[in-house]
Amino acid sequence: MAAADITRLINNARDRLPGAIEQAMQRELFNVMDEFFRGSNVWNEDIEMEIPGQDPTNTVYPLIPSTPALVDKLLWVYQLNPNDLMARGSPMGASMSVPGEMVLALQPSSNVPIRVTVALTVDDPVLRNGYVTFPAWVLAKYRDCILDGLLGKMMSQPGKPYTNTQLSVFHMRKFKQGYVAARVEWTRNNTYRQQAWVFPQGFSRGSQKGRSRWGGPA
Amino acid sequence: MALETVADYVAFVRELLQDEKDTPYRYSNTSIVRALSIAIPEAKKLRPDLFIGVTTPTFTVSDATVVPIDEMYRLPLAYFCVGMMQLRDDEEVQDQRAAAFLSMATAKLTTVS
Repeated sequence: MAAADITRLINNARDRLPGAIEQAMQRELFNVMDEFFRGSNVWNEDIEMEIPGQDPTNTVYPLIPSTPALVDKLLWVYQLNPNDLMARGSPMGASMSVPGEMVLALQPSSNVPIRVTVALTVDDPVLRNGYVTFPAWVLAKYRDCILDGLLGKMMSQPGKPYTNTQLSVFHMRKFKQGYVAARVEWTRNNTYRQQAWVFPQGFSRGSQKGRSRWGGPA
Repeated sequence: MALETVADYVAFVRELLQDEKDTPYRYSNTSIVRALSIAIPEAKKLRPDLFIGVTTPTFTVSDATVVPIDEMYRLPLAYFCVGMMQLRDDEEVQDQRAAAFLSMATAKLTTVS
């Protein structure tokens, strides 16, 4: 039996999808969550490891999440701070051309403990009852958005009792708006009124369309 | 009587065909079961989502074997079987009735009807 939050989601979807069966909704829910996580980056995990000092250049370090998930993006790599007074030590350059395989830009000369932060998305295997696994707080926080995605994808299937092209477009638009908003919230660490820094406009020379192009990170 | 097993389908189809007295039957069990076996891939063609993780079954006898389809979509299979029976070139059969049952089967699989 599925958890109460998933059951509520599926029941809400079923009200709007006459004739839809659970297995079909489970499959589309996987696709919805994949698109949601890839678009929003909200599912993060810190992976701590120690880089040996004698490793050759371009050594590949596997990034393995603790739960069934696919590493979608390498967000950042920081050295662990030895005295623990600060959350992060120095940043380290790294890349991940193959998902889950990290390569450092510069190999350290001595052992260095690091913390790698990655963005995850859903992956097989799903649960025995057929539902995709992801953190429960995501569904609690973004229930409407996920429901829109599920409805949009289900309604776009051809030749079904619940096929509805117009409503599919409507729900998919709302879904996209939802995960873009989630990405913005993620960049601000879900903190109210924390906004990206911009240069004070009183000191700006010229218009924003002009050559000065002052402005902080979005 | 719920539509659950092959025998349930055969009994229900006989009801619709008015062929419940075994003296002998007008339509044999073998024919109805064969129609049910044909109905499954036809339904799968229209609604592949109904058979996620299900191996397409073939039925040979009217017994307690469960027909693997969601409960919302059991009636179309029965309608399809009735339509197939009525397609025969019998003197009491009406072609319109056969066509109506086959159309109803399709409609019930693909629309809210």
